[in-house]
Amino acid sequence: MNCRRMRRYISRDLDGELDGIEKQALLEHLEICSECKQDYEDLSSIISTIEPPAAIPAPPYLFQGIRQAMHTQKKQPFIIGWLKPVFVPALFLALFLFSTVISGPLIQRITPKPDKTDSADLKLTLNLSVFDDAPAASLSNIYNDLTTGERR
Amino acid sequence: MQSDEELIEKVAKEDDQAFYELFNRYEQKIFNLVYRYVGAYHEAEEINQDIFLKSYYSAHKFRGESKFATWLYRIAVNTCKNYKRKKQPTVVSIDDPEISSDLSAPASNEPVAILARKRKRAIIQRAIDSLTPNQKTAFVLSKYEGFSYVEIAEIMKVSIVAVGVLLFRAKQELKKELLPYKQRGEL
Repeated sequence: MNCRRMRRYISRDLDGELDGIEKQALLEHLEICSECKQDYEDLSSIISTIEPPAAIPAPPYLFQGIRQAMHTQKKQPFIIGWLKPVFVPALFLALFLFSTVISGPLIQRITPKPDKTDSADLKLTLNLSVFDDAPAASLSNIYNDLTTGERR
Repeated sequence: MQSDEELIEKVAKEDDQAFYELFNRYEQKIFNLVYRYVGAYHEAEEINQDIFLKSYYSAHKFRGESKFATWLYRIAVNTCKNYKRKKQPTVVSIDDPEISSDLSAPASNEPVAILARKRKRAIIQRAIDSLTPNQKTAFVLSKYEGFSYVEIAEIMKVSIVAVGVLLFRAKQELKKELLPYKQRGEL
């Protein structure tokens, strides 16, 4: 008999699930194997520590809460319950189709195209030559102050 | 007296009196299972209500393939598993009835005894919470509720061999977690 199988027997024995022959085999093994015997003792001691907590009476007002919930949430009619798994995915599919296929060209038509004036303004904004008039090293000084946390 | 199965058939036809009868039969058992699973009284109340409402609304789904009790316990353990998945680990409250029942202990030992008991319960609950959901379910059903491997297999819809494996692993894990406390005399 190997120890691996015996460890499983130990677990089942602690749950009262071993038959007579298995129990006999386990007892014989425990007599000759000190490791398994130690495992058995440790496990039984741990399991006895976590015996069930004492039964506690359920709160007396429990059914009141359930009855209240029963009256507020009325049962769904059978047909709705049956159709729900069909309707919900169909609704999501319709929404998805609308947002991608149908609304795509619509949005394109509604959104105004940028005209030439806008492009010219953008170019002006991005042109770094606007900083040419700034005093020399003034921007780099500000940057350095910000990074070092110092003030001039 | 009507059987559970006859009553649940009536519940499916919206007989609230039949539901009340079933509730009375199982209220204490289910409440204690939930309390032992989550380890906190107020959470147990909330989950218990949820379980009975689920059984009421899904009464028409009961096919009689298993006993009513097995079906109800299955709803209960699944609700507990889902609840624990969403929630933070349990904090055992001093207001829990099991703890506050210690108030009847001798006056001189009162605070010390309560604290020691609270600490012991918190250690054990933490160890049980560290198990995987299936290991924990199998362990609670076996150790706390006294179900056999066959019954646990039916409730959890797994094989008997799988129940044995789950309980073996659960015990090894609990040994790893709790043995150091035991050796230090803290349990």
